[in-house]
Amino acid sequence: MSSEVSTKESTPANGTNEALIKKTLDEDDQFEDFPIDTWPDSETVKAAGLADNLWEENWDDVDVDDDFTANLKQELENHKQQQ
Amino acid sequence: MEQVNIDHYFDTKTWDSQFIKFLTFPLGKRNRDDNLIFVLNKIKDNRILELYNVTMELKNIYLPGYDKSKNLKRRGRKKVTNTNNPPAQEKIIESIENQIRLMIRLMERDDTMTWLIYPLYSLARQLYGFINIECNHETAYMERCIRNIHKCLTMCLNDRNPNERENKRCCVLYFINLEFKIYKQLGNRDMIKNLIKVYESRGDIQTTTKNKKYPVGKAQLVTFHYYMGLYYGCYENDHLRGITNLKLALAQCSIKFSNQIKHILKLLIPLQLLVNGEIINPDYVTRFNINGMMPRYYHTLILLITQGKISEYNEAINNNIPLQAFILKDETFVIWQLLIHRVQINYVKNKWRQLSEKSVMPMTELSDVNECQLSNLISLNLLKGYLSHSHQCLVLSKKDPFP
Repeated sequence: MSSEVSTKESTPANGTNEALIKKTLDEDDQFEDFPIDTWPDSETVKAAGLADNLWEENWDDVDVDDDFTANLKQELENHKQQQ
Repeated sequence: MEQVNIDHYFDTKTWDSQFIKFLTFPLGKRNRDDNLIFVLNKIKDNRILELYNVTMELKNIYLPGYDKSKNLKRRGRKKVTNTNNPPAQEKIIESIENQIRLMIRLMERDDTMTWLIYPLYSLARQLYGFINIECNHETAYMERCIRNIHKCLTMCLNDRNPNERENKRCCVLYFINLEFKIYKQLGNRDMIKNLIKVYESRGDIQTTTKNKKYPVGKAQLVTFHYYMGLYYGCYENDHLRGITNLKLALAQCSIKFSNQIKHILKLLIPLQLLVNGEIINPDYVTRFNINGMMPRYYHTLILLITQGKISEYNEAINNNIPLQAFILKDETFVIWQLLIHRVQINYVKNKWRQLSEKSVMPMTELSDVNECQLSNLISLNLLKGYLSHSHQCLVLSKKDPFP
């Protein structure tokens, strides 16, 4: 089952997927060196308060409406129909 | 032309940007002339003279020769069989290695030479940068680079100077972080493990960063905690220790470096979800100005987890090639695989809510999970209750069934 899906997704006909894979692999995966050695305490994430309320219990109020989620849903639907 | 006296630095035991310019050269530039003349007037130490001579030979002979041959190649005037020009590269690498060797000897012999640590780090970075850019990070050269950086690290770790202010151990993070970076680039997890073992057996973060005379900047601290978080969280399955390190890295990171924050969050988000069941606030994208593919992939995965969509989640991480490539590349694939338990829990929880939170749930209502998976959740203490195989139902604890 899974190999069928993989083959389907790897075919050149699926141009969008190919482009997405390329975009994904092109993205930098290295933790870049900082261009400066240090910075004032006031400039840190902690001091700026950006780490406050960063974590939640759930995402009940979030809508799923981005393109990727929609495409994934469509693919899953197609896959179910093939089965 | 401005004259720079090299003796002055050794007399005053300080360095500045001009001293770094003396030791190093800008990478990838055709014109390296910055109108500085470096002179050594007094010769009171043969090693300083040797360091001066090696550096000037690199600047005046090897680099111009290398640049000239590269320019000729660019213009197509010379038939070149080997595009990388190895003899010239070799001379430059040898020179930087000699600079590093001489600096280490100067520092090992004299306890008051700790001020040379940062210039030595600049040289180590120069060696790595040259091999990475000009030699296409060729493995043999990279191994030589690691050997040289490791010599710097060993010198720092082995310093037994009782004077804490001059002890070179305060600067080990410079070289540890450089080694982390190269091993990660080479995909060599065993060497990362060895490096951490060496560090943890000889020192700790308190003794190696609290020197007021030679303070280690926040950039090194954040980088160190990021790599430690990666190691413990993704390689060693010590997820809690991974989270501790990544939270330290995030807290100390400057808000101006959103790309580094993104890399920290890439690891922290799935780990935090796995260990504490906590989800990142969706406003993190705007809060930290995160761009790239991460938000779209992570958004999808988190929603599938919270909504308990088991088959869709499995499909996404196992069969959606772009998404799979993304989490494999960032080394979080195993964590997302482990998060299947969280998806299953949320699936059961959603069904439980649909059944008006009754403690007895027929297995026919739980079609996306089997008895084995439920037993597993109970044994992991993610679910409180028991399975009644004869009655084909799951009996949940009335008190706190989802701890």
